[in-house]
Formats: sequence, C-alpha cells, structure tokens
Amino acid sequence: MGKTKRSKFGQDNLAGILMSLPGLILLTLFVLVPFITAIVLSFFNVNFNNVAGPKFWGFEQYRRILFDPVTSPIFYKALLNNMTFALIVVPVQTGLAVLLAVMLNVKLKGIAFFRTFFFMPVVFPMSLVAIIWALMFSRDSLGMLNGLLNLFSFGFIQPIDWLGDPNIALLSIALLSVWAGVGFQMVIVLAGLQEIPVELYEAASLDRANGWQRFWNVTIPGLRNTLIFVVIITTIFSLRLFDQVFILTQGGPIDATQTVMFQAVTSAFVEGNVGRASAITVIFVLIIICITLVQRLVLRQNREVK
Amino acid sequence: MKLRKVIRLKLKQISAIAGVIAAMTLGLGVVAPAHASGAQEITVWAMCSETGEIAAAREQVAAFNGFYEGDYHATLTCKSNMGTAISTTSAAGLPSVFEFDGENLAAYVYAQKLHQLDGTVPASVFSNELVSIQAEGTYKDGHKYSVSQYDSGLGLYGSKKMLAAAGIKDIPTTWQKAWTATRFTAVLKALAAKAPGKKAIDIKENYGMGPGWPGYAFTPIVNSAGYQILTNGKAVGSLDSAKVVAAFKTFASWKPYVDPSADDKAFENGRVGLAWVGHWQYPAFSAKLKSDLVVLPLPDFGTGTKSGQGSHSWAISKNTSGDELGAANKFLQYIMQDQWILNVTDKNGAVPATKTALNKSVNYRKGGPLQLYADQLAASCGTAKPTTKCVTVPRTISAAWPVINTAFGTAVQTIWNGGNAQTALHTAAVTIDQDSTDNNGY
Repeated sequence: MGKTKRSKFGQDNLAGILMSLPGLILLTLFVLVPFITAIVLSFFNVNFNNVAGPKFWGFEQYRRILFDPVTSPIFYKALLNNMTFALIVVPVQTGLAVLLAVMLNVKLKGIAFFRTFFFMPVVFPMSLVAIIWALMFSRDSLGMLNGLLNLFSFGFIQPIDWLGDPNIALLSIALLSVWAGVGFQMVIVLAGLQEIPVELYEAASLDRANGWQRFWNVTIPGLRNTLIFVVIITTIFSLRLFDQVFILTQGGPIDATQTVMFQAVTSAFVEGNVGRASAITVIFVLIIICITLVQRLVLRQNREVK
Repeated sequence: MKLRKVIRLKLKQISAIAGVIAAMTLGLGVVAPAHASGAQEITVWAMCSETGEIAAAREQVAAFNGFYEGDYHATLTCKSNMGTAISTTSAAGLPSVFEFDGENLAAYVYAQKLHQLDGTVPASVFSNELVSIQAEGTYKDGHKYSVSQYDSGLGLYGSKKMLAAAGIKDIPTTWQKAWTATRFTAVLKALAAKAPGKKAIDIKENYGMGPGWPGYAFTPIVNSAGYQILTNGKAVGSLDSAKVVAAFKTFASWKPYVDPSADDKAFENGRVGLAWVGHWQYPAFSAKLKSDLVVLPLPDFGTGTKSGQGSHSWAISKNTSGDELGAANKFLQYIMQDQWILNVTDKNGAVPATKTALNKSVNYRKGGPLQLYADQLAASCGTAKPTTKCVTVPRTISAAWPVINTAFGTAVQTIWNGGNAQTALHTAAVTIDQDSTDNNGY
C-alpha cells in the first residue's frame, strides 16, 4: 500500500506508455502531422509546379471556397451532393444490411455460401467495381441495366442515361455504392444478431408475438448498439465518396456528382493547387467532427453491462 | 521489479536486432552490383504505357548499353504513372533522362525540372524532326526542351461499305477536302438511318467525356472555329467566343447519332460507320475492316479542318550536368535514330517523329494508308492563330495546361449532357484566367 502511494508513476503507467508508444507514434506521424501540415498549408497559395514558392495568403483560400461568388458554388454543390448521398445510402444500406442479416441468420446447411456470396462485393476494389458498372450503366440499349429494364417492361421503359443525366447520376452512383458496401454492414449486423439472447425470442413467442412484432420488439432493440455503430461508420464512409466519381463521372455532369473529396484530390494532384486542397480538407474535417458529435449525442449507445 | 527487468531485456534484444538490420542494410548498400567499371551511369524513366512500348523501351536501352559498353550505362525504370511521379519529385530527385506526356512540357519547364536541349543536342536532330514535333518541344522562351520519337494522329475512320449504303459519295481523303460541320451533320443523319443500331459514329465516349479525352479530341473544334483556347494569354473572349459556342452547340446536337461505345467496339463491330479517334486504333481497325477502312479528316467548323498533335517526349532533367549530361545527350541521340523510332512506332502505331523515319514507315509514307496523319502534322499551326492553311494544333503550351485540360473537359461534359454551351465555356474560361492570375501569368 505504501509502495503505490510513494511511486505515483508506477510500473503499470510505464508499461502502459511503452505499449501504446508504437500506436501513438504512427498516429502522430500519419494523422496528426499531416493534419497540422494541411492546416498550415491552407493559409498559403502553394502549387506543386510553382517554383516561386508558397505565398502567404491568410484566409484567402477559405474565402474562395466559402464566400467567393465564382469559386464557392462548386464547393457547396459538392457538400450538398455528399449530404444527399449520405442521406440515401445510410438508411438504404443499413436497412438492406439488416434485412440480409436477418435472412441469413439461420442455421441451414450451406448458409455460409450465401453469406460469402453477399459479402464478395466488399472484397472487390472500388475501381474494379466502377469499371464493371460503367458497362452496366451504358446509356444505350446495350447497357445491362437498360437491357433488363427494357426486357421486364416489355419495351415500355426507354434507355436511361444513368451517368449522363444530371438528375440521376448521383442516384446511379448511390446504387453502385450500396451494392458494393452492403455486405460489410451485413456481416456486422449478423454478429450483432447472434448476440441477442435466444431466451428473449422464446419469451416473445410465449407472449404470442408474431414474426413482425418479434422483429420490432426484440431484434431491433437488441441491435441498438450495432445499428448505431453501423450508421456512424456508413455515414463517415459515404462522406469519403471519391473512387466511383473519379472513374465514372469525374464530378459531372454539370457537377451532379461532385464531391468534397473529389474536389480536394483534383485540386491537389491535377491542378497542383495544394493550398486550396488543404483548405478543403480542413473545412471538411470540421464538418465531419460536427456530424459525428451530433450523431453521438442523438444516438446514445446503450452502455449498460447486461 | 520483474516487469522492469523484462522490459530491459526486451529492449536489449530489440536494439540487438535493430543493430544487425542496420549493418545488413549498410552492407548491402556498399556491395552493389558493379557494372563495367568506369562506365558513366545514367538513370532512365520510361512511360511504358502499352505492352509494345515496354518491349521497345527495354530493347533500345539494352542496345544503347551494348553499343556504349564501357563508356555509358543506362538503367531503365518503367513508371506506371509518370505524371504523378514527376510532379511529386523535386528536380534533384529526377533521373538523368525521362519520358513524359508532351502536354506537360511547359509545366515542367516552369517548375524548372527540364534541361535546355538546344546547345547540347545537335541541331541536326531537331531539324530532322517533324514540324509539329519541333513546335511541341519548344517553350515560350524559344528554346527546345524535349525530343520525341513519335507524334499522334487524329481524324475520322470510316467504313466504305456503310458510307456507300447511306448514299455518301463525297468522301474526303485529303485534309483540304474535309466535310463542313453542316455537311457532317447530314452525313451522320444518313448513316444513322441505315445503321443497325440507328447510330452513326463512335467518338470514344467511353474514354470519358470529362477532363482528359476532350482536351485532345475536341480542342480541334475550338481551333476549327478559328480560335485557340488562349488568345494573348486570356481564355475569356477566346474559348467562350460566339463562334466556338456555336461550334459546340453543333457538336452537342450530334448526341442522338453517337454510340456510347461502352464496350469500346462500336466501330470495330460494325454498329456505326464512323469513328472519331486517333492512330492507336488503326491496328485493330485495319485488322477488322481491312480494305473497307478509310481515313478521313475531322469536320470543318469554319476555319478549315483542325486536328490534334503531340504524344510522348523525352527530356533531360535540369540537374543533370558534366559527364552525366554528356551520357544523357548521347542516349537521346541514340534513341532518335530511325531504327529505334521505327521499332517503337511499329509496336504502338504512332507517327514517326522524324522526316527520315517517316519516309521509311510503311503506314505513314507517301501512298501509305495513314498518309493523312503525316500530311496534317506537316501542316502544323504551331502556336499561331489557326488559319485555313494549317491543320494540327498542339495542346496549349503553358504551365496552366492541367487547369485548362480540367476546365475544358468539364465544359465539354456539361455541354454533352445538355448544359448551356455559352455558360459552360464561359465558366471554363473564367476558371482558366483566374488560375493564370493567381500564378502571375506563369
């Protein structure tokens, strides 16, 4: 007792620090340092190709992104697109994931095959997925989606310009993203489902609850923590939208699929405008922190130990 | 107590292991594979974009090393993304010699990454180059910064059978006889009426109608309307002038006749009778269509038919000096010989960049199937305002090209998908001019 009082900085603390040191070093190197660099760079006009060197610009980059009548509309459109995309993808992907997980949460022989099958799109790199979907989204009747729609509607539905129609382009990208990502959420929800004690279902059946009532009153509450987690990470992933846009639409048509990350990457690596790109990422991180805080406040995870 | 001992022991083990690894790395660094001692080393980066080009790059480097055994030795590295590699490497980190996409010449000179070549490379190499290539390698200070082994050819390909079936008899085979835009619209209508899928042309929409392909394929529309993208360094008043807007309105009106070619084979598989694409498709097209294939100039939007030029170029990096510079110089001269130019152009189908090599090329010499490309390049407009007497126009030789390319591509995509041509081109022009102002006109 006396020993622990004397050495406040005991062995446990030392061990704790040493163990977390590698992780902390990596976090600092790859997250903290670049972020601070981005903040610093956002106050300059700095370009990869400009040998004149960085010029201090104060808040000019931010002014251009947020307030300038010529250059700010595209940022707000990108932000709007990101929010629209998140608002579509999060409920749809989560809902679909729950549906699939519930259907696959049975102990049938060979169920592993179906679980693998639905998970496979997650494994493919998004660039590969986007290229295949480019063929499927082709705007003529040879495109797979148009062909199928035409077939099932007996010729009533005409070919749709999935990626070229400004009103549909973002929805098309959302469709492809949901298809590619739902397996990931499904697996997490599946794990959550298997945590729900079987006794609760038995009790519900004893109380003569039907399938639907069991779902709403046992499954969903039991999945609460899992669903909160899934919603938060899906939101964060959907705000990172870049690969599909880069390969399929390049932010078009008419900025219909412009996203904040796409803006940042093209500013930095196509136009070499590192200052602008840094400012975009700083603004975006602040927005994401706000969204995450709001989500955590609204969706308090149930921390009770059962 | 025990824990502290354990930690100390672990630290001892870790530092021992680290020490061994450090020694090994240093040792390996010292015991490097030795080449013919005394040979001047140079590093070479090549783009190796296609299988044929990889082989060609390896062959010419191996031949160079063999020819200059004992004097010079070149080490080749293929870079899958040369653009990013160069823009993110400082001048000091660049290799002695590298290949790059010619459209970036001005950007690299501006970033002080290229060594001036006139005065080092013999003048005879430059004078043997095609006029278009000489224009491509010249910066606004009048000096030469690159040499090229090949140029590109852009035009229309046609299927004689399908054109005949549509009743089109006035097929232009020289650039002077190009269809006017109005006549071209009628041609497309006639072709579409008779085609199996009711489409007339493949403009390689699958390459992407955003930043990228339009910067090469559809900038000739701007030029054919009588303007360059920049006039006196300004895009507003040039790119968004009335004639250019009108030309793009016509272009957009062709969309119903265009096959999106998602499988990239609309022309090859006979769905359409025309294709708006460059030399790289010639091998596949001629294999499929054989004698049915015809090569035509792009339509004329008022100031004569215009076409694109420019492909990959070679340069010496700025910091190369002394003996390394001499070796790099010899490397460039070596690969600019007809033998090595033809070696790569036979594989990638491009236009040989020197007059002597061109005359030896089966496809491009007088009477060859692709003579049109050679004739177009010989009538390069260079950096002057386009007239009816010249054809190919280089992509704007300015450090602003990446911004121009993106802005122009975005405008074309907007127009192609139903947006207002005037607004789209004006927005692009304003973006380009603002970037120029931000960088003090480069």
